[in-house]
Amino acid sequence: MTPHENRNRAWVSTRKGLFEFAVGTNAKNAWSTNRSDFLGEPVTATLHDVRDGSLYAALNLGHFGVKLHRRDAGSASWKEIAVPAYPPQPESANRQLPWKLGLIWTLAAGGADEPGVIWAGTTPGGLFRSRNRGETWELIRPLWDAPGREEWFGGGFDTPGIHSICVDPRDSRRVLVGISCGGVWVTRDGGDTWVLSAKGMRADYMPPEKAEEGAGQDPHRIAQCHAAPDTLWCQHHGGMWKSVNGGALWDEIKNVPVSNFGFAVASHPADADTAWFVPAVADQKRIPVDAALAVTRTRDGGKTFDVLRTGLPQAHCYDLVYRHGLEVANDGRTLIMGSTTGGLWGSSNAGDTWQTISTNMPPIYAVSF
Amino acid sequence: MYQAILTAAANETIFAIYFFVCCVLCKISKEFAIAKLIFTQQLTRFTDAPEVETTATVLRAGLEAAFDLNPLLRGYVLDEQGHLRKHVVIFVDGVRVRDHERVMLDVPLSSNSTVHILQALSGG
Repeated sequence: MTPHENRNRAWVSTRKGLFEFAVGTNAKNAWSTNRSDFLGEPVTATLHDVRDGSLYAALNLGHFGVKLHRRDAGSASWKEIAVPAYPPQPESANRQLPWKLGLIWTLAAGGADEPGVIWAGTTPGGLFRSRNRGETWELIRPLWDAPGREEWFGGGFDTPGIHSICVDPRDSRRVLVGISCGGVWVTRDGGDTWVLSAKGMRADYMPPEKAEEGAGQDPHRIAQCHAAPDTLWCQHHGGMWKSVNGGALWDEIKNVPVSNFGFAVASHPADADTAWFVPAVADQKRIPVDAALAVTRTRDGGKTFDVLRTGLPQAHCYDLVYRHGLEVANDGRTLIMGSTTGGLWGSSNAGDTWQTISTNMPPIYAVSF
Repeated sequence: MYQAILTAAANETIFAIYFFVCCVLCKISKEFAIAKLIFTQQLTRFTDAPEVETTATVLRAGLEAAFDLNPLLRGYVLDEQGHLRKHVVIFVDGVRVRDHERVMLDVPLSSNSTVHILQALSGG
């Protein structure tokens, strides 16, 4: 079982609905919209569970809270299912951080050997697991109760949030999560115990004496190589990092072209040396360098990078690609990328050239295959 | 004279019965005081939110009566801590539920109260 087995369709989660696309297979075969759902509503994350073909869509309604819907394989309609819910907040807990679901930031399928298991990363920092396709959820208390969680803080949102969940294809009990801001945490026993695993990362936005503390790190996005799961790529707030040992140690990727600031990263599913990033100027100027959109790609493990621009706007472009705005299909060649200003591009040749799918989508939160 | 006494006694009995019936009716009417809950029709985009009549005498109990009819509705109005959602507003007889009342939902409902559950402009 490989991730994203179905590369014929892609889903785009936006500020104003969920859009399904038929994937273009070459430069002449344009991507086209198949259907739209939840029009007008913010869709923060979508998961295509290749194990059973079901789709999950997380909504964040402006007035009425976070909702979760599932569309089963072969069905045309969605069913509203349970959302992850935080347990009753004890009086002794920090009242500044309400135990209330703020956002489903990411959804991930469990391993091939645990059908029905779905993980959800949320704000204000809770990791949830469902064992029954989203009918009920449990907060992973050992991580929520981990010593030092009070050191986590908001990055992008007012409260901490889990945006990356990597389930090891070799062993479903090994799960790595990325938190903005709370560093990287790893469990090897299905969530019973957790270890902070951000050694090597550096947070230049912290006081010098705290810059290397793991729980203060802001990994914007972490992507795992499916064929070599110990290889992890991270676009961090302060640069780009890579681990070849499952997160035990992170090495900074230096001397990168264009910029080392950005949000998104995608890992080739089979080639551990290949990954894509989408650079922006800097924290304080979140636009493409020289207002020209570029994707950077390494094919030698981060030693060198190609700068890919063909087909991407190269003048007066102010598109920013968020954490979940870049994804690669299981063929390692089909890419989709969406921006906060509604730009959407696809590539059928690993990013060498890009097709403009749309320039007027709603703000794009996430893309997936 | 006996007839006058009997008539007076009968009148007192009738009055006593009348008084008793009035008391019972008054008690019944209190027990069955009807408050009406009206949900914003914006909710019908997502789930059923019919108008609900309830004998509840406190706001939270009134809402529970509506949730009994449609359990999905709870998550649209309250968060998982049982508090009124940040961007939902409730008026009871024209008075906005505010501050700690949004947590406790202990606002009394009286006979013929009208409760409006609306979306706050703050949420969008």
